[in-house]
Formats: sequence, structure tokens, C-alpha cells
Amino acid sequence: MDLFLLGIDGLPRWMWQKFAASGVMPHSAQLLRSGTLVPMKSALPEVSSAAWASIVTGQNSGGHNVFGFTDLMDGSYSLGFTSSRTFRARPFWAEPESGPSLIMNVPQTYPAQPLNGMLVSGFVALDLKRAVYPAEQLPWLESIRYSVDADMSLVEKGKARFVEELRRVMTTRCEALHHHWGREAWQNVMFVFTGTDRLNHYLWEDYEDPTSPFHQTFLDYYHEVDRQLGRILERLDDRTQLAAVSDHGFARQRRSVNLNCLLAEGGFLKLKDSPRPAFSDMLSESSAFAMDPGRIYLHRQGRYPGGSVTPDAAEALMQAITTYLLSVKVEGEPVATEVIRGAGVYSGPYSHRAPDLIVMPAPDVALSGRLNLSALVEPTLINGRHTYEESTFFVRGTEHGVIPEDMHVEHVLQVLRPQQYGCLRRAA
Amino acid sequence: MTQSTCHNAGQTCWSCPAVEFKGHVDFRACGQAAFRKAAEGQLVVECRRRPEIGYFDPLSITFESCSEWKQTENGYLLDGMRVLILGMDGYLGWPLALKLAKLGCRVYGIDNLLRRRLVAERGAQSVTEIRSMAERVAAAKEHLGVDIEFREMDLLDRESLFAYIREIQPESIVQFAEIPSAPYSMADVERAVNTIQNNVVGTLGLLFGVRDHAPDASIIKLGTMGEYGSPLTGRPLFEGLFPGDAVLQYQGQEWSLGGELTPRDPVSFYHVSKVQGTFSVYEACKYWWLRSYDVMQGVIYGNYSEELQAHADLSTRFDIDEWWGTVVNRFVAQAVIGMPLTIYGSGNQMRGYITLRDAMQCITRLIAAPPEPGQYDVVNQVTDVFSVLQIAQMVATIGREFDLDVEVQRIENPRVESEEHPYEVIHEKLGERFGFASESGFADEVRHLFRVLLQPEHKARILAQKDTLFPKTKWSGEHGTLEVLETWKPSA
Repeated sequence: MDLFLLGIDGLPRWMWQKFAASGVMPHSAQLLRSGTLVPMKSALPEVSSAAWASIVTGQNSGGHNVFGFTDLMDGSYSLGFTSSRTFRARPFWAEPESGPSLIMNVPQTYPAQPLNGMLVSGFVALDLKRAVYPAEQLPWLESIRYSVDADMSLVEKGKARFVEELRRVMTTRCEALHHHWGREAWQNVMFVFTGTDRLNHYLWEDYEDPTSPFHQTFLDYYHEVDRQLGRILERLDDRTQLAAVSDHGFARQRRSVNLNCLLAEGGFLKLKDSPRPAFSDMLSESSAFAMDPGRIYLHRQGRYPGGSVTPDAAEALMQAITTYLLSVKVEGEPVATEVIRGAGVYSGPYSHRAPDLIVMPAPDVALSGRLNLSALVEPTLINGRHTYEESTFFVRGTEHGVIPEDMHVEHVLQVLRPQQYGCLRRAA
Repeated sequence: MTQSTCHNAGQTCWSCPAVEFKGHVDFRACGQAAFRKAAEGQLVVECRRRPEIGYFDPLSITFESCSEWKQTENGYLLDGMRVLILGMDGYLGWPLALKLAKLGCRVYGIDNLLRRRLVAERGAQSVTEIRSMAERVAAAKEHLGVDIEFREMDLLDRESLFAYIREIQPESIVQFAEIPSAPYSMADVERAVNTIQNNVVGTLGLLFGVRDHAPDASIIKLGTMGEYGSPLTGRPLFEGLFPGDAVLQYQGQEWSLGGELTPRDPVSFYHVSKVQGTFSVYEACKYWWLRSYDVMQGVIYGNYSEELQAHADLSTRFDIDEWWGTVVNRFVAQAVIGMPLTIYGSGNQMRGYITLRDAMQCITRLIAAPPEPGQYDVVNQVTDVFSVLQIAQMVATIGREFDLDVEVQRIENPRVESEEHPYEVIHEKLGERFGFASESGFADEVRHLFRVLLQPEHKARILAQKDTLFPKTKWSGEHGTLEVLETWKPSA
């Protein structure tokens, strides 16, 4: 095997180090001593779909066309969901020179596309039957009750039940990995733990509160992730390049703020009265709207059927929105630390589809782009949020390309495959 | 018609049967999929017809903006929509098949031809001669240029029914395959049981078949205004469900009734079977996220539709006997052969009425505007409310235009029913939400009927079954001739 790329969704670099040092993740401690661990920056905005797409293609959203989980279809107000069919760049396992690959639970790969090897999609995957390539591997996965994802609705039944489900899903996933690992001489294996992200979203408050009855549950889950990591390490030979990455960092979330509510309050967004508003309910005089998590699009003439913002008006409008969002307060607290111009962020053939502005949330704040404007601060059980900073990059050994000082998710392949993906020099 | 007048232009893919629900996703937590339709979060669907657009929010695409929905005179209609008509051989099933096929639907139908046998057993016959289904299908091809697929099949043969549903994957299913006669259901135990068995068990089985093999199909279920009865309090006959502001006051407290099913008070075992059908469909929508419009149809009459007129071989059946005929149709037939128009009791019983032509328009508009998953809704399919006495009076008056000297006769009421009662029918939804506008009034439709039934061959077929027109079936179960109370010639 040439490469084993391990994903641990939503694992902050600092937390991995901390858990390794404290004994929660002993196998990780051993692993981290064998290579280099650095903080990495996520995609902009810090959404999993875009970040994983960047990790596996070496491009940012302008190159792979994944800017979030949702996007408006060109020239319309139809809201589509990004999937492997809207993912426009080639992942490393689909490169012509790539040998047989085992790709398991990588987000943004649904529905499963043909490849030299085997692929089981990660989230968002709505039907296991279409998440598996080749299809003949499906019956075995069904026989072990393989789930693409844990059922979010179980949170409503209590955190214990939810974590139990996360553990079940992880166990079957790892069983599948080990079952298929030995079937063939794979050149590349990529496997992603995604339950970590789920856990962080719903139990972050318990992690931060050592007196919480679920504090130990949180740690135990990471201990189990580490045990599974140990099984992988045991099986890997020393010649295989081993890297571990996460797609974003994590932090406490105290409020989920609907950006579209703010834009409406600021006079930028105007919707027709509708019990279930859709983007097609935007009135022509609307000048901007938001999509999850912090993407703001100007309602540009020519880009949207009812768009009214002319190129001449765009600059002043972006300035006005930026000023507004940096000054507005919700529950007495700011909602944004920075508003970035999309035009300077992305490169590649899909850059024209980029958001005009990207809002970087203030601490404790998660941003949403729902069109239901009934609640500025949305009720949610989620108490952990993604961060742009402090995702994880680790590579074992020294045989790799240069790790940039300002490491981003789209640099992962440059470091691991410098000859193919970049001009960075191989380290001495 | 301009786009803005289409009743369903703003409906979204969430109502479209071509869309497959894939899940709910909460993107705030990285797109975890939850597979409950009732879950919070963003709906995700895929279009079976346009897979190239990928996964999308069904609320973000309207019929007006979708290339698969074509504008017609009855609103936007899913191009080549696959419609399964259960009971295609019937009075309503056949004209609906023709109308939908002309509109570009792919029309499939089943029927066990029971109605033909039951009418013959009664010694009656359709006044307009009707062809076999094979001949009708061929005539539709020849005279209208449309393809209709028909299979002889009993609704109770669930194995065949389910296989057929699996095979054709209908996008809309019209349930007309019920025995539609109150007096038949009251005649004796065998006929009552037959009615309940066919209607209640048939519809229940159908619902399981839809759940398992075509869960996104909309179900247009034919009910009847007779399900409501005629409440003596004068409570309006709402459209199946209480309006949002309905309140029940009891012992000093107020309770909201909004959205609950209104009371049913059926007036025969046939009507009981329809009420049971209503509950079965309502529950199936609730349990399994099926979707249905329950059509509380008034008394139907007439035999005109554009498609039926294309050729005599396309005629729909037209029954006039005590069991299988409806009142307006029977009155015109009685007038044509000089038989008094028979009114039961006082004749002040009020009922809702609609022409065949208007009913076909309503059903088509409902098919064109499917409910959302899990949605159960009811429409009162009625255009006019008359007393039986008023109808007799109007038919007699129009009969004079055809030189007919029409008598009206009051007889002992064979039914158990209120003869004096208030009757306020709410029938707003079809007009307001589905764009229905009546194309045929009572007088014109009755004139058309007179023209048809006065043709010698039709008059002869009426005379041949004259004895079946006068009622004999008593709700009490007693036997014996009904007493004539009064006979008169209505004044001009």
C-alpha cells in the first residue's frame, strides 16, 4: 500500500494533542511521535463538504465547485444539494495513474462513482444502495447493518442513545474497513471517522463541562476512536505513507444566528409572504441573501432571474453589508469577526459561482442561511460549531513534501504527493 | 390561459409524484441524514424524470418552472402523467379516461365489469348502448387518436392489482371501482355485504398496494356528499374537515375543531362503505405519508363531454333504473316515455348536484395538482343545490320545450331520511384552489339529455326497462308496493 489517508471529521488539532497527552487516546500519542502534526485551515466557509472536497482534490472550491451543502442551480432559484455529481474536480483515487483504491466514508462522494477499486460514500448519502461501488459489495454491507450515517433524530431521545448509535455506526464501519482491506492489494486507502463531528456538534457542552454526566461519554467515544486507530496502525506496514486529517476545527456554540434574518432586518433581503419561503420568493428589490453557513450572494442582475444588483452597485453594496454585519449585535454580542470578499479567495473554473462575501462568525456563534425568517436565533440542540482554524494535519515520517507554514485543506495532496500535485519541494 | 391563471403554477416539486423523497438533512450539523419524513430539517429529493439535476430542495422548483409540467386548459399537467383509473368501465371512469388521454396522460385502467352484470341482473340496461372495453379502447384510438390500456381485473384480486401497480408505476390513481348504489346496498344481506366487501375491502387493499408499490402516487378517492347526511341543526357541510376557526363549546369551555374530520351521518349501507373508505384513506395518509384528495361528489347527471361526442362507440353508460340511475337522469328518461317523475315523500330533500362534464373537469384539476406527501384533503364536488321537487319542476318545464306533457308524482318514501332539513353546502375549494369553473348548467345539460333520449333507439331502450324505474327497495326491509300519494302537472 502506498498511502493510508485517515480522516477524523471535526477533530481539532489541539484536542488531538491534548487527548494524546492525557491518555484518552494512547495510540494517537504513539502515532503523533512518529511524524509531524500541524494546525490546518479549513475551506471558506468552514463547511465539511467543501473541506473534504479540497482535501481529496488539492483544489479549493473554485476548482471543485463545492461551496457548501447547497447551491442554487445556475440561472435559477432552484436549490440543489452538492453531491458527487456536482463535484467537478477529480479526487486523487480517480487520477489515471492511481492504482486500486479502497475509499470508505469520505464525505461528498455520494452517489458512488465508478473507480478502480471500491468506494462506500460518506455523508450526505441518502440511500446505501447507491453509496456503494461496485454494487456486488452491497449485500455484505447490508448484512452487517452498515449505516452511512447515524440518525440525527436520535438526539431527541437523549444523548446516551445518540452516542450508542454513533458507536454502533463506527463499529460496523471499521468492521467493513478491515473486511475489505484484506480483499485486495490496495494502493490507496482512505477512511474517515465521521462520528467525531456528530459527537462534537451535540456534546461539546459536555466536553467543556467536566461535571456533566456526559463528559466521560465524550472522552470514552474518543477513546474508542483511538482504539480503532490502534487496530489500523497494527495492520499497517512501515512503508505505507500514513497521514491523518480533519476538515475543520471545533468550538463551543451558544447561538445559531440566521444570516437571512439579519439581512432582512438590514433591508437587504425582502421576501414575499409565504408559509414556507423559498429563494423564488425573493422580491426583485432584494439585494443579497445568505446560504449555509456564512455565504452571502448579491442578488445580481443576470445571475438570478429576478436579480437587480448591477455591477456598478456591487462594490458599495458589499461595503454596506460588511459594515452592517460587523457592527450588528445579537443578544448583545457581535455575530461576525470578519467579512471576506469571495473574489479574492477562490481559483479555478468555478470561481464565478462563488459567494460574494464570506462571513466569519464571532466566537460562540454559528451562522445559518435558512429562509424561514421566524427566528433570528434559532433553537437547536447543537452546541458545538466548526472553526476555520485548527483543523488537523498529520503525516508520518519525513518522506513527504513541504508542509506550508499556512497549511490549508487544499494543500494536503501537495504534501503527500508533491510530484503530482504541486511544486513544493520534497523535504530533505 | 395565461400562466398566472393556472391554479397549480405555484405548486412545488414536493407535490410532484415524479419526485422521490430521499431524506431530511440538517446542514447545520454537517448533513446528517435522517430518514423520517416528519423530521426537522431540509427536504432532499431526487427527480425520477430529471435525474441530471441531482438532489435538490423540492420547495424551490414550481410546476410553472419545471420542463416536465406542461400548461393545459386544466392547469399544468405532468407530461405523459401515468394515471391508473380503477373502475374504468363505469359511468365516470370511461369519460375520465378519454379526457385524460386527450390531455396527453398515459392512461391505464382496470375494471371487473361488475356493473354491466349487476345492471343486467336487474333487468335494466344502459340507455346509450355501450361497447365492450376492447371496442372502446379501439374506438378511442380511431376517433381520438389516443392510447388507453385496459385490463379486466377485480380490485379484490390484490395479487394482480399490486403486480399491475408495480408494473406501471402510476403517478395518480383514481378510485372509482366501487359499487355506487344506495338502494342496492339496502336490498338484502347479500347485496349489502357485497357493497361493503367490494368498497371497503377493495379500497383498504388498494392503500396497501400504493404504500408498497407506488407511494408517491396521488390517490383521487371518490366519496359522496351522502357521507355527511343532512344535519338538522343546519350546520354547514364543510369540505370534509372543519375550518380553522371552528370551535366547540361545551360546559363553558371552548375546544378548537379546526382541521378535524367533520361528522359523517351516512344514509345507507352504501354510504357507510364510503365513510369507511374516507377513514381508511385518511389514516393511510397519516400512517404512511400517502397523499389523497377525497372527493365528496354530489349527485351526478348528464352524458356530455367533448370526447364522448366524438363517436357513438365512445359512449359512456347511462343508467336510469331504481338502483343504478341517478335522479336527474331518471327524471328525463321518465319524461321521455310519459311516465310521471317519481318523488320520494315530500320531495323537499336537498342535495348537491354536478354534471358529468363538470365532474370530469374537477377530477382532472385535482389530478393536475397533487397533494403533498402525507396530505389528506377533501373537496365538495358540487355546483348546485336543489330539492328533488325543484328538479322535477325544472325537468318538467324543459320537457315542454320538447312537446312533452310531464307529470310529477309523489310516492311513499322508501328511504329512511329527513324530508325537511336545512342544507348549506360549502364548495369553495375547487373554484378557489383548483381553478374550477363550471362549463355546463342544469338547463343546458337537461336539454342535451332530452335530445339524446328522445332518439328512437334510446327511447326504445328506456321503454324496455320501464318496470325498473319505479322504486321497490325499502330501507325498512319490508316488501310491497309503494303508495302513490299525489300526481300533478307542474304549472308552466
